Amino acid sequence: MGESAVRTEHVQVTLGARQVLRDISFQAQYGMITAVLGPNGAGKTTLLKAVAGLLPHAGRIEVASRDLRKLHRSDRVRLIAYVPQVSLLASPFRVEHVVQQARYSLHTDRHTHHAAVEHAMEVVDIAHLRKRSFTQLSGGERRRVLLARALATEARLILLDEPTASLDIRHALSFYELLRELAANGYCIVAVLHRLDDAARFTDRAILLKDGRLTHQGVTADVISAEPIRDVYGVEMDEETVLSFRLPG
Amino acid sequence: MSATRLHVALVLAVVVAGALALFTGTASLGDESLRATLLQLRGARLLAAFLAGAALSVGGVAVQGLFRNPLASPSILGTTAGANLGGQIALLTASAFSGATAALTIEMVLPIGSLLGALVALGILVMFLRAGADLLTLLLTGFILSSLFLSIGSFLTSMAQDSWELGRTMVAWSLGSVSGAGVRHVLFALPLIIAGTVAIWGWGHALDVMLSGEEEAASLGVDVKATRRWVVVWVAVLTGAAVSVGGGVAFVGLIVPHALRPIVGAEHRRLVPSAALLGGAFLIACDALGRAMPGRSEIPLGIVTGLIGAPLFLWLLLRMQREAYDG
Repeated sequence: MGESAVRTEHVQVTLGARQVLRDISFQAQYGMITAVLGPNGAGKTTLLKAVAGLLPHAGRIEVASRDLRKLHRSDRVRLIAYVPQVSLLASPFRVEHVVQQARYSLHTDRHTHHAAVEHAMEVVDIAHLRKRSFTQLSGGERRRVLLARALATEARLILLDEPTASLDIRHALSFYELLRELAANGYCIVAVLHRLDDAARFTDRAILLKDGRLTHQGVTADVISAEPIRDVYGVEMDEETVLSFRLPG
Repeated sequence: MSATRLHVALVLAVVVAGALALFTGTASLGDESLRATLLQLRGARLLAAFLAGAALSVGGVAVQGLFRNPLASPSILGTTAGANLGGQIALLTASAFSGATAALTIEMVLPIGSLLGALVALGILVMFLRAGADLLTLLLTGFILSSLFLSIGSFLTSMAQDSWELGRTMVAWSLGSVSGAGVRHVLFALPLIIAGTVAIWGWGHALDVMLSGEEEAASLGVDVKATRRWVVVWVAVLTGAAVSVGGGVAFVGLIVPHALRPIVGAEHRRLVPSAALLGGAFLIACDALGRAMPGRSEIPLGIVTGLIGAPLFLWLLLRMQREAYDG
């Protein structure tokens, strides 16, 4: 197993009077895509936000072997990039300005800033959109811009909350292909996913949550199997029905 | 349009509006015996209108960014109503003690009262901020504070009707006017408005990122609480200073940022200087227009901005909706 990008030990998150996560311990490695799965209300998004440092937690979360609580804001940005399911950004910023926002708290020289922003836009293939207004982009293009902003932080841990929700099949496949490329280049991708078929096809490892508890974790093929799925979702897996799509070429 | 061209155009607008304001009024600059006095009075008035317009517009840019709401204006924080009430209390105080000491002139106590009123409103807001209030709670708090201050202000105005002159001054003040602004008002407000404008410009990048929502902003390293706290503080300073020279002027902080966004874009560091110039030019022109109306000596500035601002704002809204519909 590779180097851990994230390691959590007995993590608990309480929001108001409600304990949303209980005793969560898992690891995610660089070079892999880890899926966070579970039914609605299982605590998937809460877990992602806790790892991003956006929610207070009990227990221990380590990112790149460093205690999350002891990380300064700018160090956190250098190590963790977070892309929410729905961005509230509805302002007519130019695309390049949105990507440049990644460098807000990173005090490096102008050349480094520029290089990071340009590299992120090239990797995500949005350089041609740089002068376009964010509000004039399609849903798929917006997801790519937000991913580029995450990459421009130069963090190697990317947390994605339902990255392909609301994307059509072609844009979704293209996005997953991009995530696979990033993982192959050493990034650790942790993605909350709803579609189990996507998780089975595109992710390396998976953790399964139910009612705020981690019930199963391991290689995705083992986690998405008849018994865990029955335990967590209360449905039977039908492995005979396979409907699969791919990008042309 | 490039930023330089826009700024040149806006500076020209300020100059043209300023020239118009200097020559507008019942007395003529052609009269040599009056010229120096008129220029001094109208010059101070012109500067007061520019400062009030600039401060309210920059405040508008800041609150619209902070609340991610293009319908927000500096008045939603309650500081405008607080500053207004402070001014009204100052007028009453100055009137009560006018016989006791000649030093306690309205000219001196009015800006101090406005600023104190804005600071009291701000103090209440900061208490909520420290308690961890979110933006919605802050908005509601501002709304309640505004209603409370306006009610107290109306009560004081009704009390002041016993004295015809004081009652008239109180009403004129709450309607918004720069007619009584002197050099001392301008000198008092100037450093506050410069400091507030520079500070909001300084928070510009953070406000840009905050437009993605507080959670995303925090994930990108923005100190959300500090940004929220300081932007609110500087907006209060700007509105307090603006009210101290111009009274309760409506609509400027709402429409100026709106009008500029399609030309300048949404980036706060580009919006702030443009809003200061356009807001200043707009209020100078409105003040001149109020003086140029036939049939009476002067229409209060707040009424002119309301008469122009409300239909202009509706037109901008319609245009935005049409553009959104056209994609």
